[in-house]
Amino acid sequence: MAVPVGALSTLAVLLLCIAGVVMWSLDHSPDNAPGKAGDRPLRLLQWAVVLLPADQESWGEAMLGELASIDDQSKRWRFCLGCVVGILFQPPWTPIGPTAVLGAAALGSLVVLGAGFIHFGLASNPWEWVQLAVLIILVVGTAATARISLRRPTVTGLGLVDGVVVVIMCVAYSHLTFVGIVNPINSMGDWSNPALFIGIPLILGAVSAWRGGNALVGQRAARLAGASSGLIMFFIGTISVVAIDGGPRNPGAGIAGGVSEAFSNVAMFFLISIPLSMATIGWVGAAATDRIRRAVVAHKQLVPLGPEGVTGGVSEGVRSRSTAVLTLRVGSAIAMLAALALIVFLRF
Amino acid sequence: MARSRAPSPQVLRVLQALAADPVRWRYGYDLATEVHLRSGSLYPILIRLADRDLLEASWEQGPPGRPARHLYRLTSTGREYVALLDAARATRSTPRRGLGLSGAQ
Repeated sequence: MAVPVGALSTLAVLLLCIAGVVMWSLDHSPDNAPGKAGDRPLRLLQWAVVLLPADQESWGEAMLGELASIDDQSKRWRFCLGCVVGILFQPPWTPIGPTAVLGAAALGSLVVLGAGFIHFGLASNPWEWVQLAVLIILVVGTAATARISLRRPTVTGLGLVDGVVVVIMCVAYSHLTFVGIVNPINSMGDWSNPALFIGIPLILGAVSAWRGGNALVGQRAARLAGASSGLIMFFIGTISVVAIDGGPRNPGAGIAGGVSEAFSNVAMFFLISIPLSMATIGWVGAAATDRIRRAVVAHKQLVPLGPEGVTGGVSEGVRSRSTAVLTLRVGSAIAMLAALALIVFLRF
Repeated sequence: MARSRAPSPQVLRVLQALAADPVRWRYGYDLATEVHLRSGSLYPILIRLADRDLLEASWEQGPPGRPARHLYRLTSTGREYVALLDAARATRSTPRRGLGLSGAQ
């Protein structure tokens, strides 16, 4: 029974991701995209300006307006890249608390990684240096993702709260043991743990998109939740690895090999699996919610019922099409939820 | 002023360029070219100046199909601030001239 259930879960996750991508691409089809098609500086800057804090959105529009006035392609690229760098490296909006906590987690995990690397004699193996470099890149990349996401007040609260929920769940799954943290796959039962990898990000994406008024808010909140929880859990994970000398290992494997493998395991789980699943499933939840919300709003606007229930000047054809689309979308959402419920039922 | 910290050389260049003709509205790209700053340095400076009410911004509608452009100039507070900076610099340089440290004459 275990294999079919795992396969079903994986299939359902893939289907949910595909549905999210389809919905997102519908929103961002070339017909809807502003600006000239194939204008890469414009597209890059359009991507970057959404990272600006909400109170600086007009500055993003100013940059885009200025870029549109430059005709020379090399000057356009220079202007665009300068703006992108300025946006990425300007100080974050958020109060210092969350930034400091996440920064401390990133720095702390790097320190523990380095200390473990030296203490367990991993430096003598060239391949361990490669692994260390990859781990450092992962930590820095995750920290940068969290830092950028912290700039949005609408995103920060929900994203951080959900990140804390994920951390609590991970620690609870470990039964408060170092071994449980170092072997998350064993302690959580399965990579396709539906509550952690599907339920939480799906709900977060949906709630954030509904509250924030668009899918981008849900997408960013889920990304922040994944990055923040991943950083904190990786910090806890590195401490756990060092505390128990890598934990249980294969017969014949030395302490150094066990520690190296344990560092890789916690990185794979906390810096790759959790952030990725949070981001993609949260994106699916946000995109689906946004579609439904907009369909509901459009439906209400198309069928304004007066005091006597009289419709206001809308053709029957448009109204019936809108109703059909709404029905289809609501049906799709119900089908997705049913699929999720089935997975959870089979899982437990 | 919100901060008493001395402005950086880049901020000074932007302020002086804007103060050279304080009534005229300036485009961001033209300003960046004039003061030899990259856009990534200029816009954070403009944002900070606007946050401190030293700079005012306005939108200019472009031709059809093109987005509006942002225009900038100093506010009255900004002009006063630049005047204060100039006065402070003049005060600092006066004793140096008196002591013959500037190399002049």
